[in-house]
Amino acid sequence: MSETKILNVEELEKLREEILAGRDPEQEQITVCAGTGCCASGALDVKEALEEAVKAEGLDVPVEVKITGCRGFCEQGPLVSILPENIFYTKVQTKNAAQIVKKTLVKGEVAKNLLYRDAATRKRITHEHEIPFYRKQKRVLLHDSGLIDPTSMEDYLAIGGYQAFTKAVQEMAPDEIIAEVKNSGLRGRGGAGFPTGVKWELCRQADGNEKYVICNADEGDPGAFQDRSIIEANPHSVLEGIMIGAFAIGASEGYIYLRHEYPLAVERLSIAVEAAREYGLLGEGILGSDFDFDLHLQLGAGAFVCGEETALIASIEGKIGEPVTRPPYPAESGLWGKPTNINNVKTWASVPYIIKRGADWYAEMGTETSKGTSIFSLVGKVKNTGLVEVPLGITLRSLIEEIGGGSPNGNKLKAVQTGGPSGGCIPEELWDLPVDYESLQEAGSIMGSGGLIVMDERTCMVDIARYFLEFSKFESCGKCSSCREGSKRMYEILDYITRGFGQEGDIELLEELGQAVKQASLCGLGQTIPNPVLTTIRYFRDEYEAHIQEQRCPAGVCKELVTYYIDPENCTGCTLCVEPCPTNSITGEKREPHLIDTETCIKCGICYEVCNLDAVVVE
Amino acid sequence: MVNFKINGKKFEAPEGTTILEAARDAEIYIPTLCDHPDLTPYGACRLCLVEISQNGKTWVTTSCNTKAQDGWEIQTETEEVNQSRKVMANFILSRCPEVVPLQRLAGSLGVDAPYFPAEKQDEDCILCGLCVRACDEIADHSILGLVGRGTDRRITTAFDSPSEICDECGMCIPYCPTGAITNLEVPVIGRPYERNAVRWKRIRQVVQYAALLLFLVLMGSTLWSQLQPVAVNLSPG
Repeated sequence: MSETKILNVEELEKLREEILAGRDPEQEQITVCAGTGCCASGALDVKEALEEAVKAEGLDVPVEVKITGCRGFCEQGPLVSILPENIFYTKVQTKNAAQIVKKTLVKGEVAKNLLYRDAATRKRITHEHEIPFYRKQKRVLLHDSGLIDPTSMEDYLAIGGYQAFTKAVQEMAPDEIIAEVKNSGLRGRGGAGFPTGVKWELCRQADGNEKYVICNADEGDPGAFQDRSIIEANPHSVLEGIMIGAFAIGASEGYIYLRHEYPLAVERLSIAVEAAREYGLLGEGILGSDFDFDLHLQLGAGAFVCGEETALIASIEGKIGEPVTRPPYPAESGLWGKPTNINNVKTWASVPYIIKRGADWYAEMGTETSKGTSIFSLVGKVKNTGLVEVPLGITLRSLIEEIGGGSPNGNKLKAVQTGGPSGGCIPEELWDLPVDYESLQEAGSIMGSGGLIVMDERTCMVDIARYFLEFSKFESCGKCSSCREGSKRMYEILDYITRGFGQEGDIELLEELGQAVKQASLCGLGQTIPNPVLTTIRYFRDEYEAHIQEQRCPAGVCKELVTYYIDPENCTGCTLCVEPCPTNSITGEKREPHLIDTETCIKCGICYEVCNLDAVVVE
Repeated sequence: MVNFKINGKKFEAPEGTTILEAARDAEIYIPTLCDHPDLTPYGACRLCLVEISQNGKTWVTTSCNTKAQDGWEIQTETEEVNQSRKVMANFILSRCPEVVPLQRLAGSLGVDAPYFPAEKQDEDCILCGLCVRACDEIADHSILGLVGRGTDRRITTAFDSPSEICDECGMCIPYCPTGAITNLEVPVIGRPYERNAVRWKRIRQVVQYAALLLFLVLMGSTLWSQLQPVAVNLSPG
């Protein structure tokens, strides 16, 4: 028995009070975002530099420098906050550490050069919540991410962690919990949108004493990183959600299926599970009740298809990660043939908030059929890339243009891809659609895991469809002939089109194959792989026709269909493009128009990128 | 017992009967390649699609691994289903264009010639997994397995290593719908094994021919020496 083990709810509350009493809310504190994005831009070095700077300054009161989870604004990382004033510094480098300590901590002044500058108003913004990127968001799941140290149980308890769990275990019967989740209108955030409460009820009513809960953290969509971010920032919220769910369903064992490509998430989740065990929040007779529950961490071996629930279960069982036909659904016969409930990380993480604040509070957000908030990873051709949490029902336009800040270089935005490789492309004309499960489905796409990839006029839609098909072809498990052969054949046709070998009738053939693959495939992956092809044909048929009939790529992306040349009228002979050309294909005297040798040009596009005068033309 | 309809005809079957089993009993034809009554359904070929409707909801699924339920109205030959089957047959035939049973089946579904070029012209495995299931369930050896993902998928033994059990068993051979497994010389499955076997065969041939040659030479020389006129010493004493 370890000393930290908490035996009942009273002890937990006492511990919480002790932690809070030991903390002074007025004390100066520096928090450094240590999400994967900020770590990649050097956040951990910044943290060390700040610690050294604080030590060197020799302040009278100790100043704590601590790491927090992802705050979503990855574009501007590394992010540093000074509490309690809540000053928000962006793009902090190690060389700025001394300045922050000397200026802000000692003198109490704001270091203006590190503040976020709004591109539209050209003003510096001091506080996080005033930045347009954050202003339109409604952060519920991500609210605590920037406040707590993800590796510290005390931090989570200090913000009221495990209160929802104690409330559920002490005050509520399992049926009441399920009713509360049902009333909240929470739907599966993994993409399919099945009502969570109903799923729990089915599993609770299933025969058998032995039941399992599983958390699906096998996030594999290109461009999506919400689950990763939640686990890296606030792993205990996921654990608490799973524990409440397990109590309601009557499960005594749970698994978290996490992809091994997320090393930081693996590390932080392992720490959290270990801490929960140490504190007695996992194990036998949790908090003096008769509820026994333990969690295991299962690492995925890298197959995208294991995000599909039946393949995931097979993978945990040690079999090939291959989907099997439903019914029977996992709620009747899942892991080891026992009733099993699988939910996504975001779904589990929503549960504690619903139990704590009530179903009515949650149901107020969102639309008639899609309640609550959801997290989207906004990437691609937008100014503010990062994680955003918004109430469902917000329009795509306000997501992309207001929160995302629109195009970074003035190019016209053309489409957005929702839901990863299984989703579809929604054109700019339809961006006034509300983001909810039904509207996206009507537009031919899916909510999916919530990836939003924004594309501008320099993105070729045929090439995008080809890219996603290449991904699906590689990630198909290969069981069904429809998915294995279908993705391969559709990829071949698209590849031919992008290389200028398209034939009349290819578009119709793609539509025919797409419909058949959609109908004939076994699992969610196979049924959705034609989506990128079908939606791009539906909304951007003219681009396909230009490729096939005129051997022309309107966006200037498909290498074998474009030529680069220099417009002599615009070229001033600045020689800026000569140096970077990898094949030395650009020749010309200074102050004279240059020339590209099309024989040796490999169409890499570097000259196009560096030219400031629009003298390089792609056609 | 469950009550349902196939093509408008009323059925009553014990619980757990798959649609395909019920249809087979009633001699309603549904094309399949990866199903066998002896083995657990797998659902890989996607040819046995049927359309099910209940309470105004309609969906398409495979009949081999779907258990019929009360109130279902099942159609085996709708236009949509036939179209999807045709595309699937085209996919399978394009993979293995030279396999006669596939040509015949595809022909019956309206595919006269494969639309797509084959990656390997002489490919004859359609990855239906029948041999793997036969190895697991009938022979109880679990030697064969599926490895690889997507287009890299193939059927082989663990680590492609040869198995002595395969030399004698051969239980998977009758289940293969395309004749991809043969026992005429060595099982084709497990390529290094095949390579080894070929090497041994070559060595055996060389040794046999060498032995033959030696035999002939010895015989020849013996004969030759016998055919020589015998020198008779006629001198007295």
